[in-house]
Amino acid sequence: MRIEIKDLEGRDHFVVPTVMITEGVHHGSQGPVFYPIEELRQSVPFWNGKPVVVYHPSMYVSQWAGDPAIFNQQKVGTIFNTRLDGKRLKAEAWIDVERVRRVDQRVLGAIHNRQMMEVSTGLVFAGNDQYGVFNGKHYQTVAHNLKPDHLAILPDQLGACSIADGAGLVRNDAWEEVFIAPALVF
Amino acid sequence: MREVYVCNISPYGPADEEPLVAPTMNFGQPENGPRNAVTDQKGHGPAPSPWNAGQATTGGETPLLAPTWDSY
Repeated sequence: MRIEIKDLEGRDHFVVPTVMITEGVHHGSQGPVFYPIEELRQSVPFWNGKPVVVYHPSMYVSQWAGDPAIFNQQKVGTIFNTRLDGKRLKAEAWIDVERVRRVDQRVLGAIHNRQMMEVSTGLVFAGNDQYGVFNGKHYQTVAHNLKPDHLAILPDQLGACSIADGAGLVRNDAWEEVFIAPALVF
Repeated sequence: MREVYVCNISPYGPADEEPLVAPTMNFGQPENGPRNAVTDQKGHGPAPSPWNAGQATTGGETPLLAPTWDSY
């Protein structure tokens, strides 16, 4: 896998192919939620420019990533070039080389070694408490009108839409060529 | 419909055991306050911002918008 280094605001950034989430039922902090493909499609332009952080902001200060304290402590990059590819919401995670070195070197190691790493979306959606089943998975809410807040990298945790579900940092169409790192061990 | 905030982290991972701050994480913040405070704790003048601190060790790149600390 080729990971380019590009300039952003005068700083070197790794341009890391990423699958943020896929269509399906994902069990996050709101329980099992169904994310329909059309809702993912409509959210595409709103992801660009959102921060990439290590761990979710709620672990430290607030649930929102748009906070100077979060930027100073956890932000390592920015999301660009979001698009829908089949049932996958893909993007480029532009990871600031110097920032990621300082914030969490496990992420830097994963990029260098072309190892997938778990990711997790942070967003707001309008839920309707509609129960159902999609691909054999039960859900209790359908997510509508997605409002992206951030993408979290989880060096030692499991995303609700995990690598096994098709998501992940350092992942693109040629993902079979990439060594799949153990999800919870580094 | 109701708007809700969601973190798509799995409840089945180790996250529910305890909040984790990895030992390798280095947020670059002092324990007693923000790093870009106007003065440092010893009263030796302005402390560098995290960005300028990094630049200072790599050749002193000039920020695009803000004045450098040296200009004060």
